[in-house]
Amino acid sequence: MKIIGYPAELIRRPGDRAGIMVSTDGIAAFDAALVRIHCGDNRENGPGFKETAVESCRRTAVPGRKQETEIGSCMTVQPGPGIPDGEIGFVLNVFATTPTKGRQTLLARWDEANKLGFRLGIDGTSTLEAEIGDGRGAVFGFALPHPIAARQWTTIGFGLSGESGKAVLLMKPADASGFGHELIAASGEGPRLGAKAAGLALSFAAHGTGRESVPRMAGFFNGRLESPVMLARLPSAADIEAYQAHGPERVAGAAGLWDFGRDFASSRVAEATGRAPEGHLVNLPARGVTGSRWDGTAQKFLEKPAHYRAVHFHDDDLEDCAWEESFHFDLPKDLPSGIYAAKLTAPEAEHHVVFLVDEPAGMNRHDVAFLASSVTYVAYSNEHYDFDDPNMEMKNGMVSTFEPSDLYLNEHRELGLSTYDRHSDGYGVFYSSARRPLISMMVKGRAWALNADTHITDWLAGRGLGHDLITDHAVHAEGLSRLSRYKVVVTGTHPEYWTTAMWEAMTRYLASSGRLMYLGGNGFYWRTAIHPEKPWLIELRRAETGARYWDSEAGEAYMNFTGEFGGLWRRSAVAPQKLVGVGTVATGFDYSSYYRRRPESEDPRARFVFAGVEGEIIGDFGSIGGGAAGSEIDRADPWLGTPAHALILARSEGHTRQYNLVPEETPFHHPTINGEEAERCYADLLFFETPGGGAVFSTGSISWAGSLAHDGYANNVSRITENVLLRFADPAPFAAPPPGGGSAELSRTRIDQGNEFYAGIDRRG
Amino acid sequence: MYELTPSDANLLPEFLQRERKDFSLELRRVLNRLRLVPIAGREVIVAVEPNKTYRLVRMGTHRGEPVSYIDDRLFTDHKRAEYEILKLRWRRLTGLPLAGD
Repeated sequence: MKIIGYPAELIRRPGDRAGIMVSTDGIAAFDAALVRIHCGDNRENGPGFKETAVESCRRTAVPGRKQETEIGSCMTVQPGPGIPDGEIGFVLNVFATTPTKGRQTLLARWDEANKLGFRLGIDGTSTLEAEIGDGRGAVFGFALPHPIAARQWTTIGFGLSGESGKAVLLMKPADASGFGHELIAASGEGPRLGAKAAGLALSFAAHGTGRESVPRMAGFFNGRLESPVMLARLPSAADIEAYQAHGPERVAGAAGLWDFGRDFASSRVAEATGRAPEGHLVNLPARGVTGSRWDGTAQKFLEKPAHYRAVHFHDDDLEDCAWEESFHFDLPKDLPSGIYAAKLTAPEAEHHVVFLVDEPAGMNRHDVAFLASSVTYVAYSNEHYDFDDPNMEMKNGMVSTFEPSDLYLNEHRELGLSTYDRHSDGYGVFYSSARRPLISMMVKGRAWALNADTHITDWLAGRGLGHDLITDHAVHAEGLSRLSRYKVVVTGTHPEYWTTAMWEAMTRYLASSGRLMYLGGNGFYWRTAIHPEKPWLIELRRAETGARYWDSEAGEAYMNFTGEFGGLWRRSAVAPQKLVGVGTVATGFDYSSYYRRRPESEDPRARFVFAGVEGEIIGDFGSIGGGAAGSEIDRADPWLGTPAHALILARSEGHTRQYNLVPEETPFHHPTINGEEAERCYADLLFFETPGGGAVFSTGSISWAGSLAHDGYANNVSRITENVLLRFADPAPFAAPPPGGGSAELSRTRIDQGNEFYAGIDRRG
Repeated sequence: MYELTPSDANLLPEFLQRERKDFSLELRRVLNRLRLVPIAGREVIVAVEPNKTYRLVRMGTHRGEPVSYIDDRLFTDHKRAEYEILKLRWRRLTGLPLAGD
């Protein structure tokens, strides 16, 4: 890819300034045009790529240049009188996760270009090393004779005298169990720095390169550091003992203490003594992670902050690419909300920088809102699992097949990871940022997430069904008022990641006569956080259970952005079955299947759904796996909250062995959890009314929307969807359902369900 | 972990003969084993032109390393390209060529 970019803000509104950051490779200039994306799927079996230009927004001959990204996290402390120039020392705990992966810096006041200052690090062979340079060529280095253990909390002391040149290095494992936990020390005499390094920042988990441009930092450390103490003297064995036994506050005469056990959502790190400058975390290292004192007596960092005084740094953390803006569009004030892109073109190069234009707050132009899953789009960006996870082929059931954009992403790791990935040290990725090229949001790519959602926007346009676009982020920020202007809210194919504010807004919307069409699968699944001050950042924890690509570490189920328990909504408060009647049951990615109508589809309450629909089989066609029921599927479950009055109108069948039940559906694994053999591996097409005249329609399948365009929209999936949309847009309230009017299997009590294990599971409702 | 046996070679032609959803359980077991090769150096496919043309490539040995082309062949049938990958992995795991290879 010779040209790539990202929007300054993922979500804009009509009348806004839309800045675009672009990096080019060998392209001197490019043109840019604003286009509205109706369908991003350019596969031959899909609806076809459809875009329309916004003529008033064009740029020609925009200068191109390569923009660099600084990846890797660290903490910096700006230079100032609070950092001693005479004798200086440090005591801190270190938990190194990749001590053999190249040279890594633990702390430094260092200018690599001039070899000035001091630096403490790990040499790539687990050996703790220090170097001191006077900036004029004299560099003194020394090391400890024994290696630092991987993934063991270890207390380190380091200090030097700017006047005598004396330097000391101390190490003692913090975990007293096992062998080799005695104090190890080394000392030497280096150049006398005096105040030569006074203008340099102090840094932790990386060191300065001495450059004014990227890369400004290098030597990124993988692992955890625990609240470092700074001294105006050389550290001693007593300081190591005090830190280990009683914590950083008990180290005598501290000249600085950066307390990682406070302000867990902030990038600012408070300095506890009041004598030194505060610290600044760069590139979003992980917070709310366990420290050396964690003993399992608290699971939440806010309950015992002293157990969570650690920050986990990674060499592949990224908060913001921080590229310079290349150009901008002034969006017309009357621009319809929708999916847009800055279409960048140059000879033999094209790239769409996708962003969303949200309907302005406090207004609507249509009665139907398409709710773009903007949080989910960010969560998937930029996933590397097909490259980095050895089991993805097993999951997909076919040999990995990479497209050019995949290859680009693999080779450009500076664009950061997704919440589906693991960091280079094997730990899960908590955060994802929208301030970078979002390969996973590209159009003309895989039909997934945003690109798959354009099957819905294409269908709405193709059927002449006017709609506004609203976003997860707007619902999160504005709550019920964002939803309540609409008679109908239509989700995307995969609205997987929901914040608490979004959930509450949707609950209130449905309780106040709102109508929701859930046209997806695996929705309402992970409880997610949006950063309180930086809405381009999201967080999640893969706690407890769920279909996931990494597990949260013990004691790390709470999200540091909000303090909320992370993981599945099903395990947090309310299962999706209560909100939309269905919840995730299985995933599989080879074939999609079809639904078979059930007698409930003839119920007078739901007859409108099937008006004009003949036959028993629904959706045995489509561009995603060849059917309307597939990829990720959901089913009704009264135990988890499917309302007893809900009608299961149709149920899918015939799923393949590549489908497997999600972990929460099968607390222990056994050979019959695949789609061919499992008793409950199906998608439910479901309808129910809500108090106040509202209603919910759920398809429980990601691939549903991939069938909408089949045969020029003249198919039963399209007809059913349109029937529902038109009735839902009709203000006539839905009548309250009669008692016992739902599908029989939804009326069972818990005792009934317990007996079900003996009596056998129903096979035909 | 399932260990491939020489007689498993007889199952692989089924890969081309049947729809994926109709594969026998015996073939599925062989395919699962062939998918259990390490990522480093794994033989995979690149869609030179997405959904149209394919080439066989080998993954790098570390994160972020570029893939390298295995040969010059260009496939228009994805399943055929996949079969060629399975043959390469078969040879790697068993040291034996497939009959007719």
